[in-house]
Amino acid sequence: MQESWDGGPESDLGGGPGPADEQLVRIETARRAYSAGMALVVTVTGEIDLLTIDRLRAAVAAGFEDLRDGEILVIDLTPVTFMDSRGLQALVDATQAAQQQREPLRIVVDHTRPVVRPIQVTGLDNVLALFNTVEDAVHAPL
Amino acid sequence: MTPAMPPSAHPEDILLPASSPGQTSRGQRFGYRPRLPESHGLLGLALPAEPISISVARAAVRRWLAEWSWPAEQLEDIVLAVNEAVSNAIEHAYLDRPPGMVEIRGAIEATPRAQRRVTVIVRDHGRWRPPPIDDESRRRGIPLMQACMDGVAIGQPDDKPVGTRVVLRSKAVPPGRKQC
Repeated sequence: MQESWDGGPESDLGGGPGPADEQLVRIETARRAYSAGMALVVTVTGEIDLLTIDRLRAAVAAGFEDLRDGEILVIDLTPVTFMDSRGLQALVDATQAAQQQREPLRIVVDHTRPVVRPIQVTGLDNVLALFNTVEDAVHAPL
Repeated sequence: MTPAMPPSAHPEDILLPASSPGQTSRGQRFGYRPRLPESHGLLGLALPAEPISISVARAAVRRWLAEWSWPAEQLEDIVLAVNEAVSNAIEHAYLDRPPGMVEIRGAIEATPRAQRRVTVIVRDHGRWRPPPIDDESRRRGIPLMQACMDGVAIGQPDDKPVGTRVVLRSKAVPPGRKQC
């Protein structure tokens, strides 16, 4: 079972992006089944910066809206090639929103430096729920 | 024969002055405008303070340092730091006035013990923005710059009472040859 749609601002949140930010980042949201349960996975490919940050925030907000009971929201950053402080702040805000709404949010980063480096040097590896793979994220106990 | 190390100098001393008023043709305003040949270990560009410019700035810094065989991890740290300084200028410098330019100037310098480092200056001509940080993007951005660099100085340009100047000094890396 898998549905897929683009969770970017052009879906229903307004503020349509120009072609430039679409070239820099691609965000896809898919509902996936794992043996441990269902996950709504927001996969971010490309660069997270001043130009593209609004698309990430919109996709995460849409993910919270579409999350069904029992599902885990996963932000998969493994294909990200650059992330700045705005990306870090978006992850912190999403984590706080998840705590307030009592929704499970997990963030997937592999060992590639573009994502891990800004998270580690700002100490946010202690704040964010980080996993190495989507499967690990879904399997981890709540 | 190309020297492996450019002459040591402070970028403020050797780089050309910032954008001058007459240069408003479309190509100059919206293209990226090298100021001096990069083969001298210098980087110089001026970009309109618009969000689209930030990826152009990153690409220019990457290309410049790759040309000088900068070690990959230190290269990405410099790109991260320059990205933050330029992003802040794009977002905050011209909030209350017509959009202007952001200038990025860099120089490779020799350090003691035959190492090298870069100094990059990011400068705008907009609103002066002192470092005590109250908005969230700059609150995370400045520690990120500091972690990636050996030194970060945020101040007002000496020569004009407008704008913000960020001086980023990288960590020293081993000598390397210019890639031809």
